[in-house]
Amino acid sequence: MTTPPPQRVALVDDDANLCVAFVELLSSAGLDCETYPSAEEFLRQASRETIRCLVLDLGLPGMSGLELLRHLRTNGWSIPIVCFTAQPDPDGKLAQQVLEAGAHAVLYKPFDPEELLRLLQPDGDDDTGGPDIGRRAGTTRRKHGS
Amino acid sequence: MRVVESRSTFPLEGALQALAHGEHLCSIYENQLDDSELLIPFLRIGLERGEKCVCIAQEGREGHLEQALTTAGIDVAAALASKALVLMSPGRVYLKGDSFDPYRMFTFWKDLSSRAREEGFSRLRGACNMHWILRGAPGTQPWLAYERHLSDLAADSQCLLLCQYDRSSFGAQHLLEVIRTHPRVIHRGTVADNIYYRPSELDSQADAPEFESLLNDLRKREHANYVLREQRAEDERRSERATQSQLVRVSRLTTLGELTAAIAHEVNQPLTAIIAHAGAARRWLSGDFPNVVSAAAAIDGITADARRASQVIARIRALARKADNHRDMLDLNEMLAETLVLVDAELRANSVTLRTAFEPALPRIFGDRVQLQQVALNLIVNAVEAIAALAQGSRELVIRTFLNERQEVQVAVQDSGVGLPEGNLQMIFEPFYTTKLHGMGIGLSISRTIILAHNGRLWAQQNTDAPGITVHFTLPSREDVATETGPGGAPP
Repeated sequence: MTTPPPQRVALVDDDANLCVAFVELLSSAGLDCETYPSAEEFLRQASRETIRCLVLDLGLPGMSGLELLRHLRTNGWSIPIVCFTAQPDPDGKLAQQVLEAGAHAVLYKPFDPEELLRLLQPDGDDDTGGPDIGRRAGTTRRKHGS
Repeated sequence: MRVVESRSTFPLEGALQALAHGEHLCSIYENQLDDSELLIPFLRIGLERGEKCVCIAQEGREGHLEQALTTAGIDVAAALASKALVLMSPGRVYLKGDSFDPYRMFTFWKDLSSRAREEGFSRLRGACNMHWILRGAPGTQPWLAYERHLSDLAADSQCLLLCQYDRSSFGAQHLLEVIRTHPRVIHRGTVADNIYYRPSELDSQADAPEFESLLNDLRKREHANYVLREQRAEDERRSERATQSQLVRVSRLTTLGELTAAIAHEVNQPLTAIIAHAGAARRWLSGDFPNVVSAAAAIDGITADARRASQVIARIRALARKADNHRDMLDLNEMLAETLVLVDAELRANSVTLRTAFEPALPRIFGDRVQLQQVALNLIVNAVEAIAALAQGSRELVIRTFLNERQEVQVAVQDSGVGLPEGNLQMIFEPFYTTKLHGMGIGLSISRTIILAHNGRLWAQQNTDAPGITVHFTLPSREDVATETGPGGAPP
């Protein structure tokens, strides 16, 4: 039996309606969530103690998602970060840039909610199969791709 | 040193006409003439608009004011009798009871504003000469605090308040504060947006003489903005005239591309939310203990976001309607000739021989040049692509214009290309139908929409004794049938 993780998923997206939908989705999967409307607001308020991983919209007003990603990585945030975007990226250049900046995955809107949840589930601490997000020992590991 | 500027560089009348209710502004006047040149039109505009105009003149200048109003063609006696114009003395308003009480003044303006409406006037307009402050009556110290709050009051009561300050009588420090307490400043015939306005009671530590440069700066900015606005308007007029230029066509095509990207993004947002809600609903309902309440909330979310998506579409529709007003009398031969210049390189690159047979006496049609050019361009590019797909055989494009038996202007674009399988001739006009490897399948669909909106018809035919197809469109030939009566009939 999986117990809900004590740490939260942070979501940064400027679209309030989308935030509502994501919070609902995450809570339907037993995940606790906190949301921020902008990168600046995240930097002002977010605490490393409560956030287990971050879901980040790349197209934010002001400081962009990619800038926030880079900022967090250079300032020692090692949490898993999943980015998503509504921008078309036919040749995958954007995704490459984002992954190189230290994101664990990039999703294109609209995306399969189960795919997002799979990425956000706290996994075991071995690194076979799927992005190793969570790294919490003692939780049940979900099987991927079998 | 003062710089003498020509007043004609700024259209004071237009700027005064554009003042909106809820505004609080100050005038810093150089002399009595300067003051009247603003005050008289300010009051005249108010009277013309059926507003109640309250004027608190400088003590001893009421007579001059009445005379100036009469000279400007205003029937002062009638205006006074109907209470559209009320002249008051500062002693009886600001210094009632021989002291200044800002709170009494706030009540005064509020009451006056609501009473104006009760009396049947549209709004309240006030012009107040602030010279009384210099008399040093008790209580004048909070005058600047009063000015600061007057902006809120004007906005709340939806009245238009003008405070007039005599530049030569007030001290520099005071004028600096005056500038800081009014969202807009009028100086020497220029109505300037005041970037130095400070809504809150921030302490001002600036040097006293600064106000002079602030005023100059404000005026210069406004003049520069005015010139810029005029230039922009002129540019727009010019580009309107130059619709035949390729530049405009390209820019409107670009706009279409940008619009598509924006639509995609705007629709993607609610779609993503809908999918997330649906994912949540599914999860709430699965398992041994379905959570129906949460699932219902998720489904409400789906409804709300679907509504958002449809609002996006409605907004785009409204936008499209707004952009739909560019119709003119056009010579289709001329328009086609221009279009052919654009595809010249394309024709040569694909070794296509072009033949044109334009009816020289073709009547003009009434339509949107850019839209019709897009249709022509689309048909020609399609034809060239159909020919380009040929390995051998004749590579000929024929474009004809003529007046058909229904007295409509008709354009035929005939290619010797690969043609279409029988039965597909109707389908090519369906949105997203394409035979091309990289086609989107919207070109002919948009083309038909454009032609229908022009009360014309668009159809395709297999060539009878040669390979390829011919696409025809017709347009009404006279202006009297060009009024929008809905889509035209079906192809014959």
